[in-house]
Order: sequence, then structure tokens, then C-alpha cells
Amino acid sequence: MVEALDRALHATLGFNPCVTLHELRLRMRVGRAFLLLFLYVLVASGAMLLPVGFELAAQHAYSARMMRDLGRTALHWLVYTQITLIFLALPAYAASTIAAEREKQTLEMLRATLLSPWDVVTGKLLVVLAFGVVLLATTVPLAAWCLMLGGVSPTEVLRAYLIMAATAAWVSALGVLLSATCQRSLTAIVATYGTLIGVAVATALSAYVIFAWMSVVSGHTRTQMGPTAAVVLVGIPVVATAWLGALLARWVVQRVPALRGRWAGRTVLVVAFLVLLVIVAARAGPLIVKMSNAGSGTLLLVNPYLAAASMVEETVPRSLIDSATPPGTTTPARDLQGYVCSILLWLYLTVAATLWVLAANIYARRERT
Amino acid sequence: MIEIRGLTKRYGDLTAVDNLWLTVERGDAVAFIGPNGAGKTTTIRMLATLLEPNAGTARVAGYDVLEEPEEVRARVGYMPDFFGMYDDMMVWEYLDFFAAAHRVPRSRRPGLIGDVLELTDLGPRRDHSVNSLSRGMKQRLCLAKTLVHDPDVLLLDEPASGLDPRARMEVRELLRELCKLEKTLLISSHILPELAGLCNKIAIIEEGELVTSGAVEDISAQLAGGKQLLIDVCERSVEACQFLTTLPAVASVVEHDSRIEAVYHGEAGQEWQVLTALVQAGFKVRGFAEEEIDLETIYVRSTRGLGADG
Repeated sequence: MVEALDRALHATLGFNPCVTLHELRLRMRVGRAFLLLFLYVLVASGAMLLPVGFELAAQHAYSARMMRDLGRTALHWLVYTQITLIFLALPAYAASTIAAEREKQTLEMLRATLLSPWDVVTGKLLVVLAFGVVLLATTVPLAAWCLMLGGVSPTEVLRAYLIMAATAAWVSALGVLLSATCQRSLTAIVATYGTLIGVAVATALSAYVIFAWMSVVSGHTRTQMGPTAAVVLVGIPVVATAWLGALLARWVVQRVPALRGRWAGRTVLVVAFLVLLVIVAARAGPLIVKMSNAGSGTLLLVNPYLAAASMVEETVPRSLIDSATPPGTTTPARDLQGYVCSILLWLYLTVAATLWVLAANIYARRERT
Repeated sequence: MIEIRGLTKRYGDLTAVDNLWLTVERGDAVAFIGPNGAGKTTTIRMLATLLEPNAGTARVAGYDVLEEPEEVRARVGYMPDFFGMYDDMMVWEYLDFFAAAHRVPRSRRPGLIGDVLELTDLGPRRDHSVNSLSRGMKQRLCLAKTLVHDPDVLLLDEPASGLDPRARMEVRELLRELCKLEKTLLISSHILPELAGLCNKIAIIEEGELVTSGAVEDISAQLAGGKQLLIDVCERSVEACQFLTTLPAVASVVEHDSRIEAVYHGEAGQEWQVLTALVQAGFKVRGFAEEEIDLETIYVRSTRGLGADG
């Protein structure tokens, strides 16, 4: 049964899952993994329950409305804490995968086997992702408790968790990429945290700069994002999606012996990219219109730290979105939050996939010289 | 089984391996010797498809290392000179992982793992943690790992480096077993006794260039051109040396602490004439023996010791 699965995986995807199974054995069964999980739940629940406890202690009478507010506050804290913990825990975990093997001189023996660069990089990435999913899954009961208090909808919780999972995916892929690039695991870990801090600061700053620039240009303090920013915001994931789809198409086509040539591969890549670009851009058109109506503060949502929290955040994005809903139009704020969620998911997953492809290519190139 | 044609590898200005030509037949056990930094590891890594050569080609088990690396890897067991071990892992899990990495089907793995554990004498350690093994056992486990997909060719880079004498002996016994299995072996080393009596062929490399290669007997005859006589006299050893140099059958004479080493060039089986001449000349001969030229002597005579510290 399992053997048939092995054969099927190899025949269809050319993937050997032994690196994943091996890493799971090494990492998940040791006491450290359980301690880490325990600490994760402890910190997440503590950070969520403490503000709620203080709030309850300060009140003399309880109302349904207050409970709803509490539910929102609790979920808000839960998501912020988890995003913080994901940014703290996963990069180190991911960045040490390949570089640590290089450092311990075990990679050389791995390379002498039939494992391809794809097997190694994908295997490592899957383990980090599995760990991220386990971390997120442990807090689902806490989120359910927030739902019970009211004030937040299941859709908001689902969106927040989806964004967190997608964040975990691209953070892991970034860690694995830098792990494939760096000689030492410490360098890879520092580089990963450095890049993450850089991305967080740069996106927040650029959002503020664009926001200020728009205010100056329009003479208003609050303004809409406008079509240019919306095109850029939606355009990046559109191009990235088309590019990844084209790579996938080439990979599939190259399984056909007749099309294995260099020029055939390039032609497939270019044609697939252009076709996909047209299709995805056409689908994204209405989204650009909706986004350009949104408040320019929505730009802040590209900041990875704020993204997941914004799905349940009452104050910042909602008010901006509300204020940006032009008089006379019927775009409801909640609806826009859904669009933002789908754009972010789209952006993060394409970023994760790009980093993954890059990691496999860098690993393959690096290990042959 | 291994065919190296003009293999060259450069790192910047340094030429690690320079136009190397070498052929290894099926079932050969080749001692690949040379001082540290001579290019042994670089050559072995190129054969194991881990390093791209700058020029030249190499075929292992009939497949080109550059064109068909997968086919080569499937048929080669490679043991690096320095290697790490995964912590928190049991011995059988370690072997199971490498078997899986070589796409050995699940159902065949337990049998193969049992076989290689028995061969490497690690059977009782099957369920022990890799951490708990001694250095020598780890070395044997690494050898077991290189055998787990039943390769035809074994590329072993310094398989006994850093081991104590007992562990080194165990590894040598294990290598002897492997020779019996009719695998093709290329064993690099700079510790010669390790390979003495184990390999039937020898290839000496220095500063990236092949100094000499061939069957051990051929090369020893070619290099020494004769037998070495060990002569022990009670007194007047300097005079004995002078006397020996006058004999036509003796090529060269060296003396260390009253022990004389003389290279015999005369007819085979007539070495006794040297002894008779010495006795008749009045020297008190305490010992007289002949020594075959060993691997170590070949090595010392053929290398210039240039990279010895590198």
C-alpha cells in the first residue's frame, strides 16, 4: 500500500518523500518539539486571555455587547500573538534545514544518493510547513472560544487563519531558500530574520510614504488608493501567478521526450506565460476597480505583520475602508475585506512558490561547482 | 569499471587534478594513494558526480559522470573522508533513510539492512542510537550505508582516517570482506599499512598528477628493480657496508644502527652468495633476511613529498 504510494509519487511527480519522513522523525519526536508546542500554546493563550481578564475584572456588569467586544479583542490578540510567534519560530527552523546539513557534513552523502535537488528542497520545505500547520492547529480551540463570545464571524476567523498559513508558507520558503544559499546555518538564520525585518519595515514605510504623497497631491487627509496603486498591488501577484504557471507548464511538457529540447522549453515558457497573463489579468480586472476605491491605508495591509491581524482588526483598516467607500457606491466594507484577503493569499502563495522554485534552482547550481 | 580520461579540476589558480588518466577493471581493488592535498578527494568526488570537472571525462560502470549522473549514483557507493551523522536516530533508521534515498522499495529494505548490518558486524546495534556508537562503529555504519543499495563500485575516501589501531584493523577486515564480494573498490589513503595486502592495484597521485599506476607487483619490480636485504652484523658495520658495495650483485647500501639495508640486483635465488661472501670476509653476521618491497616503500620512492603538509 505505502510502497504503491511511493511508486505513484515517483511516477507522477518524480518526488521521493524520504527527506520529509526522515526530517519528521528527527525533529518531531524529540522532547524539544513538544516543549516548543507547549510554549506556543501557552504564550498564545496567555496573550489572548490576559487582556480579556483585565477587561472583565474592570467591569461590574456584563452585557451581550460587551461580550461581543471581548470576543473581538481576544481574537485580535490571538492573531497578533500568533503572527509574532510564526515570525519568531519558523525562520530559524527553516533556515537551519539545508545549511545545518552542510555544516554537519551530512549533505555530501545525501547528494551522492538518487535524491534530486527538488526532492531535498521540497522535502525540507514540507517539514517546516507541517510544523507551521501543527502550530496553527493547536490554537484553533482558542479561536473557537472567541467565536462563542460573539462579535466575530467564522469567515473572519477562517480568513485570519488562511492568511497566517500563507504567511507561514512564504516565511518557510524564504528560510529554506536562504538555507540553500548560505554555507552556515547561523548566517542563514540571521539573513532570514534580516530579510523579514527589512520586508516589514519597507512595506510599512512605503505604504506611509505613498499615503502621505497621495494626501499632499489630493489636498485631503484621507483619500482613495487610486488606480495606479491598485494596479501595482494586484499586478504583482498576477504576473507572479502567470510566471509560476508557465514554469509548471514547461515542467509538465518536458516530461514528454519529444519536447525536451532547449528551444522547445523556452517557447513553451514564453507562450504559457503570455496566455496565463492575459487570463489572470482579465480575471483580476474587476478587483483593480474595487481596490482603487479602497482607502489608501489599505496599502498598509501588504505589511506582512499587519496582514492577518487586519482580517479581524476593528479599527485601522475597517475605518479606512469605510471612509474610502465613495458616497453613492454600494461596495460594502466587509466585502472589500474579502477581496483584500484573496489578494494577500494570492500574493503570499505565489511568493512562497517563487521562493521554493528559486531555492531548488540555487541548491542545484550551488552543489555542482 | 572506472575509466578516467584526462580529468582536470581547477579551483581558481590551483589545479587540484591535472589531466588524470586511469582505468580500473571490474573486481579490482585499487589503492589510490598520495600525500594530503594531492587531489585524491577531488578525483573521488568527481567520480561520485559531486563535482564537475573542468576538462576530461570519466565513466563509472559504463556511464558518463557528467551526462548520466543518476545512473552513476545508482551504481556507486561513496564514503566521504569527513562525514557527519544525524543525531537522535537509530542505526536501522539511518540505513533505511539512505536505502529510501536510493529508491530501494520498502519491502526489500529490512532484508538489505539486515545483510549490511551483519557484514559490518553491527547487527546487535540495530536498535541503538547512532549517537551511542563509537568512532569506529560510526565508520562501519557509514560503510554499511554505502552498501545499502548494493552498488557495483565503491569509492572510499580515507575509510580509516582518525581511527585507533583496533578500529582501523576492523575496517581493514571489512574491506577485505568487500573484496571477496567482487565489488570494484577505489580506496584512497595516505596511511599505507591500511591498504597493504588488500589491494591488487595501485595508483599514486601527487600534486594532481598521476605518478604511476598498475599492479602492485609490477610497480614494485619497476621501482625497486630488486629485493631488499636486511643484514645485521655484530661489529664493524661500516666496514661491512664498504665491503658490500664492492660486490657486483649489490646495488646500494644504507646503514642504520648496525643494521644494513642492501638492494640486491643479482640472480634470483642466489642471495646466499652475499651471506657467504660476508662470512668469508670475517664479518660476524647475526641476521640475514630478505624483504619484499612494500606499498610504503613504493610510495616513498615514487612521491617527492611535496604536498606532504598540505
